[in-house]
Amino acid sequence: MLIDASRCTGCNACRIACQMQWQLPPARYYNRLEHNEKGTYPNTKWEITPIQCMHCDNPPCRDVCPTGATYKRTDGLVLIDGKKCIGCKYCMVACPYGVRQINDDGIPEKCRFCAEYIIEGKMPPCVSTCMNEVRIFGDLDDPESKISKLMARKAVYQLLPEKGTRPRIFYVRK
Amino acid sequence: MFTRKQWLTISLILVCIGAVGAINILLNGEHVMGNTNQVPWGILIAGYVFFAASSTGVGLISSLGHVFGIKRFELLGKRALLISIILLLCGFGVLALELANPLNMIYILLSPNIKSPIWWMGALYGLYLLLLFAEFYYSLKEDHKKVKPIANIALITKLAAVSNLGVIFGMLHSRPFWQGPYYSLYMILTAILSGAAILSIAFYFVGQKGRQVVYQGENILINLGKILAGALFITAIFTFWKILTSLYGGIPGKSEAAIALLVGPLGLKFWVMEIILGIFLPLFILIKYSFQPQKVMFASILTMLGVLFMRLDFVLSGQIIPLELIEGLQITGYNPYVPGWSEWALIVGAIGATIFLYMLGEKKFNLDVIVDNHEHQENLASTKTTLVKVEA
Repeated sequence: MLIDASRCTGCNACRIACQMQWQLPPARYYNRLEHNEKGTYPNTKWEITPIQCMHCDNPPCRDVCPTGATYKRTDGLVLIDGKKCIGCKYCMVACPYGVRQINDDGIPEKCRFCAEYIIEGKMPPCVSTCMNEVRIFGDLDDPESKISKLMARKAVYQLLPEKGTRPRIFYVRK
Repeated sequence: MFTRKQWLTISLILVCIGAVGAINILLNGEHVMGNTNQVPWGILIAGYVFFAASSTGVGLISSLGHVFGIKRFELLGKRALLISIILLLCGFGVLALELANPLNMIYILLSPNIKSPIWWMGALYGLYLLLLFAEFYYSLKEDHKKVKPIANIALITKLAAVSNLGVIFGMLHSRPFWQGPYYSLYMILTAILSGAAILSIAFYFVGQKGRQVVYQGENILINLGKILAGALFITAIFTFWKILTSLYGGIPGKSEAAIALLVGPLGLKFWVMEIILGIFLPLFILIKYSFQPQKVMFASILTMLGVLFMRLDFVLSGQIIPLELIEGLQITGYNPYVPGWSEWALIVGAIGATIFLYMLGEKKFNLDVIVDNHEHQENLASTKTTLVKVEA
């Protein structure tokens, strides 16, 4: 996924679309916006960064899970097998992005990149609902995909690269 | 002090309080616990560390007798094993209630992830518990040929288990305050600290009941008190350098956590409960009263109170600082955490269960150890001879 945060208006439609998709209660969300105030008054602005599971190539949440409930699929998605989860919440503590949220069954849930949805060729709701095309979702292994072409054109960065997680969400450099 | 019946009543009241808390947690789950998505680990994890590390510490000190052959520590023998078993079982009980789906623990065996320190914790503490049972069983049968090799393996297992307990936190690159090998060593050290304190409390009362707690004219509490003082002193040094190295350079996530301990929301617990009541006051009592048994017992109670808050400070300090995902992001405030009453009740109940089960064990098993002590026998014999001569 490629995120161009400079296009984000902060409307939170992505969060609400995700909550509707997964029928989440208002206090639970799998994506969020981080607001950062830049500059000094009167020359200030909000810098907004959308955050969700980074589906890391080296996910610490997978490594620390004692039962292998968190796993990485060959297509790159980091998913949770709720049947194996003991609810130790080690994954929540291990995630440097703080994206896990405990659900009513005691399972630390998170963004799944709408695995069931994308297999039908549909876009995740957080992508399709956005009026400004902040998120571009696609196959980074396909050089002809829209995301691959954009990635080649734009300067991108990842969050917390020093943690060694190799996140699969890239941000367009402002 | 209280009579046996009064102790039983007190411990049963504590167990009942714990049972109410446990039922509330079982019925309502996370909703009645203080845990949040920002602070996923709370007082029950601290409680588990408290019990598991104490169990290991009791085991490590008793190893001085049945592994290293230091005669005076053989006095601790069966009682130390029983205390170690009870503490570990209570720790597992607290942990089981912290876990949202403890029944899924079967997948620790069915689909193990050996890269996970928690998997190793389960494996090592599981093995340690089995070894404790075996060692206790053969100790009761006085089969020392079997006890010795089991005790040797148990020593390696308990060292691995308790240092791995620190690794669980040390492996987390997401939490700068915890990350690193420091907490592995700290766990071994503070396990010895709580082990010495618990054995001192137990053996004070064992001595009160007229059982053997004196070896070569010296009460075992004097030795335990000296171990306790040493461990307290080194813990103070460890804590000092941990705080100072964390503050130095203002590293994000590290220095803020140290500040949270010193002057932030953890300050009161850290200074009053952990440092003053838990370290300096017991150290002062031990030194001022030259390790008098009763004073050692008082110092040990204070130490254990301090250790409980030490574990809570340790678990919270790693999570209290909001994660800094974006460079320059202003971190305002701390991640809030307030334990639920059910969690406190559970900790209190587990302490009650420890006392209750120990008293049951004391009644059911013969826990006295006859220390083979020729010198002591000779002394006794020469004293008798002198008495006979005087009478003649």
